[in-house]
Amino acid sequence: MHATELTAASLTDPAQREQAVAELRLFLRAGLGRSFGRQLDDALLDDVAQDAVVRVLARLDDFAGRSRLSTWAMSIAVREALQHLRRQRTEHLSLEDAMRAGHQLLTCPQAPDDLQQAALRRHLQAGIAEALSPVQRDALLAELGGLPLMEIARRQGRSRGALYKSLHDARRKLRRYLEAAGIDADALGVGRVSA
Amino acid sequence: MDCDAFAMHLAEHLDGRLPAEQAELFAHHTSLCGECDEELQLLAKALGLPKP
Repeated sequence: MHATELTAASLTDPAQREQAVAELRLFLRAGLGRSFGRQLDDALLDDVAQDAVVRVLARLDDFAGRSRLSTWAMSIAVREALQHLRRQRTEHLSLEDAMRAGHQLLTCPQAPDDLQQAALRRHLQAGIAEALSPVQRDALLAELGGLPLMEIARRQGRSRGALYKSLHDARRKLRRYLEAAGIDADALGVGRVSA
Repeated sequence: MDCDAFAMHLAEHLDGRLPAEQAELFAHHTSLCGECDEELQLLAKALGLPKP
């Protein structure tokens, strides 16, 4: 059976299940190998593919049939691998340390800046302190300090979507604050956000 | 669209089954969110599809 023929029925039918699950595992492992290359060694590739199979089977009832099952299953596997790698990369960095690093980046730039840049940075610091809620401020500083959104969300016990929205709103507030002070938000890298 | 909605529509998008209006929101989100864009690129590669 080719992976594109994979169906929810084959994964649940007792007569086909064992073979379908084995083929799903091989399909996911091959795809992960293609996209992540040497970032996942053979043992890790086996583990992540196996974890992804378990997750796919557990979520089979959520599959709404709006895409191929194989595409949906691979999206779960890729997310599983990304979560693993991002967690591994940042396991030694606590949320508090990331926030401190983010704050330090704002107060002590790595490269010397001129008077104008220093003034812009001070406006940015003031905007973060005055315009943002504590939750928005913590998330923004942790992101600046190098933690991926996926990891911040996991450590704060909320969904990535909720965190994304919180950061989106934070940037919008910050942009308004800076523009009210006559500052060009683009010059500070405060991304343009939609209304 | 936020990251949760992105994840929900990701497979449909790659299979070309996302309605035009949703596809526009999807593209807008990936242009703003680096992590979701990375996920999209990796998934396309895993499936052997051309770079989105």
